[in-house]
Amino acid sequence: MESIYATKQEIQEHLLQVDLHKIIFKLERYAHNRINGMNLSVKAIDVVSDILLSIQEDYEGRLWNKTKYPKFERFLFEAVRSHISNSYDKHKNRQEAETGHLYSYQPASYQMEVLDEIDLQSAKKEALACVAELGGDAEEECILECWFDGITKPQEIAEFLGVPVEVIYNATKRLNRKVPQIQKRLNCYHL
Amino acid sequence: MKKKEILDNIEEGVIEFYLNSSVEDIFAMAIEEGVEPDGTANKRDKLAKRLKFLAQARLNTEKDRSLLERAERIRSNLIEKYIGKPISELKTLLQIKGLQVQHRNIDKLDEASIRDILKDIDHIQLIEKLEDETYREK
Repeated sequence: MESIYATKQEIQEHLLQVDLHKIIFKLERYAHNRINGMNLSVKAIDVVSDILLSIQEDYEGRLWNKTKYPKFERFLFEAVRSHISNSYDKHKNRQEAETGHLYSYQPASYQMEVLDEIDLQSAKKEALACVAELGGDAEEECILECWFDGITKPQEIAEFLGVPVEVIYNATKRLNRKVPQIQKRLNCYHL
Repeated sequence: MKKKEILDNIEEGVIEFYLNSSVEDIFAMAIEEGVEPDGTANKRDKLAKRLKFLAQARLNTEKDRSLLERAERIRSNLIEKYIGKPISELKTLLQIKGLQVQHRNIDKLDEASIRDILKDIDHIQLIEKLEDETYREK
């Protein structure tokens, strides 16, 4: 039976096929925003460089689960997300050990708190209130509602809302800046 | 609903935005946020070149290794085939393989020498044949 994980050879082939300049740029911008939102003191380009070089190595490092992430580019984003999240956890644990205070801000960390049960409608209401407080508009709120409901691709959101996809891109640019605050709010939010 | 699912959905929305947006739009967005994306252009360029180079080098190494393994398998099978064959048949095999140019006096060779020659079938020649096969298969 074929493995769900890509071989190193497949990874090398994909690295030769994709537009590396384009994907590195996108990964760097994504990493930059994630790092800023978590107040980490690492450089986005260094994180991206470490990850891309590590997935290419022969040793069993980060594996590409093709079933979960059929597209190679999506897997790369996941690798960056996971790496930054782990760095944040380590940073948080270090801080807690040094200061004796618990960190309340856990954006994408999968600690126990994140595994809490939560009511979808209440959480949505809380997140929308956060967008409004940060000066967000109706378009941003609609996109966030779509994300809550699992509609995440810009084209699908545009079709669902019946607006041109450019409107979605422009509004998501604005919403993107508010995401760390929304995540922070939801992490601290309990029923 | 698990809080993790909601946070994952939000993250998915952000990632899909970066995946589907044009480089120009993301560049403009960075400028709006007061970031100068060209500041790391040199590092990005070097990284892309390094990754391409390493990917190509590792694929070539893998291809060579795979061809060597195939060649070795074929060679082992040949050696197996020669064991127990009468000397007349071995001489015919040498002629078929075109090795008579180097060994004109096949008739004077003893059985052990013929076996040695057959065992020394040139790996490079074999790899070239395999490469041709791989090329034709593609």
